[in-house]
Amino acid sequence: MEIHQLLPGLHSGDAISNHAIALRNLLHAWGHTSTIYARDISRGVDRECRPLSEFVPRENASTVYHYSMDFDNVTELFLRCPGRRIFIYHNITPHHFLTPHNVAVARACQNGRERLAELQSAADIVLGDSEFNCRELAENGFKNPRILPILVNFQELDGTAPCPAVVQQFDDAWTNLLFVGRLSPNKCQEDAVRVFARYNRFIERRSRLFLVGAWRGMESYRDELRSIVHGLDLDDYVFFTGHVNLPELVAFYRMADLFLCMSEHEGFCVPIVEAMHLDVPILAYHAAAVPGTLGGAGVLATRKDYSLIAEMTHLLISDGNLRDAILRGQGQRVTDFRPASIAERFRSYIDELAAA
Amino acid sequence: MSFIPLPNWTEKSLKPPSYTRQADSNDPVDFSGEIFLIGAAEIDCEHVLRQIRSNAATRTPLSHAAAVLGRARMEKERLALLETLKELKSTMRDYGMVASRRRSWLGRFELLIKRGIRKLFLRHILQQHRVHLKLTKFLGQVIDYFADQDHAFRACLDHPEQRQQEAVPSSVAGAEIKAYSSCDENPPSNWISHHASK
Repeated sequence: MEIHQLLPGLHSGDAISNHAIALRNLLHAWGHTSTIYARDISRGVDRECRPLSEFVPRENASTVYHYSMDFDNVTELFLRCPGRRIFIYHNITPHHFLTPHNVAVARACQNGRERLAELQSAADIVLGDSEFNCRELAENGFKNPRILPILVNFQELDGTAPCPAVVQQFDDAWTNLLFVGRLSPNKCQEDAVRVFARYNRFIERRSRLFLVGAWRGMESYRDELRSIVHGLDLDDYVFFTGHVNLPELVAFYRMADLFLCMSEHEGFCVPIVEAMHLDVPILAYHAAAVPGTLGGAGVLATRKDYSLIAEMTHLLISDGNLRDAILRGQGQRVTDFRPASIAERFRSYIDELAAA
Repeated sequence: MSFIPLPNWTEKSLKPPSYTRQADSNDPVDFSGEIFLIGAAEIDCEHVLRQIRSNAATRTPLSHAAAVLGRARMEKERLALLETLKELKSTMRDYGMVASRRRSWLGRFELLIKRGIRKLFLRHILQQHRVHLKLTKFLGQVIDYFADQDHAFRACLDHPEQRQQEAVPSSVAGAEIKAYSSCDENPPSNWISHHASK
């Protein structure tokens, strides 16, 4: 069978891009022909895909569309595909978060939401990364949306040695709080900074906050965050790492005492799964797909009371019993995201597509 | 304010757990009081809450960690030095082009002379290049050395603070909960108004 994937962009370190590559590898392993076609391609992953302009819709080929924002030509191409279609919804960041910082991306997100209802009958199989995404699809008239969680490559995480330079610089007796995710207003890194401000000022001065993630296209938000950090007198304690490679990412996870997520919009939140896998206790804000991905593990805050969240941070780090209990929970929850079981699920959808 | 113990998540399912009260994820979360959902059935949530309250009541602003003062500034300066060194390296091999503006035989002759002179001085140029290479290597080493020294110096400053911290448990210090209000940015009176202001 010929199954191709369409994406607005393929970028190094991006969760959706990694997911598409992992699905492509699975399809190859099962004997299918599969190519990824992307509109914007970053250096470093350019060998993994072909430009969208080379994509030719064919009768006997099936198409998988990864939908996270709307770029006209990608959606139009998908709608023109005569073969069978799979629609994977990764959710769309509400545009009001992005409008002050990147109008073009905000518009693409707004269009994405507006066109979602149009696509309700465009696919033979409709998938969402999470229960949250599937609920949104159902609200938009999609029939029978099913869950296909994002594939996280645990083997790669386990097999990568932490970057020695990062370890040498930060692996000490200090407390390290971590958030992983591109700098984006919907991820509310400013709230993580505010929680950290209270933790650092009132509970533990010998502590750091690592905000790991690229800020391409969000430079104004990065500047806003930096001014917040400066205003709170935290310049020496907060680290904006920018884009990191895998050994650096593993080093940050290995050194982290707590994963702090104040994000208000996530379609799945891969870093939470990574943190669970690498035994980092998680304290997250109860929003969007985060509770679903945590699946009852970790600790969720239902209100952004920075002072109390800072106190909970302290307990999760210093109270051995609580920490162990949370880690046990996370360890069990993460088994639900084993690549083998997700691959099995994906295979059943492909078989269904073939039988249709 | 109270805690809700989460349901037993050991049930292998990719569906989200059925929390005691699941809010609509599209709306700002309002659990009317419950602030933390703890994913461990064996944990006594009330005890955790009491602990948080009692800890909060004893907090006072702490002084800066000595080992970190000026770190961001030093890092910024180090990055600026590295950037300058990178620029220096990129211009090292740039000795200019051998060219002539004339187009006639005179131009070709001028080019020949210039190339001859360049060849004559090639040995000197190579020697200069070797000197520049060593110089940039030396500067790189100096920058690394100062970075290491900065790191070691901060570790020296941190060591006594760590010892002191180990000797005095942090919860001993006494103060009232109102100490929180002196933080640089007051928390919003409620989350919804904070959210709306974004």
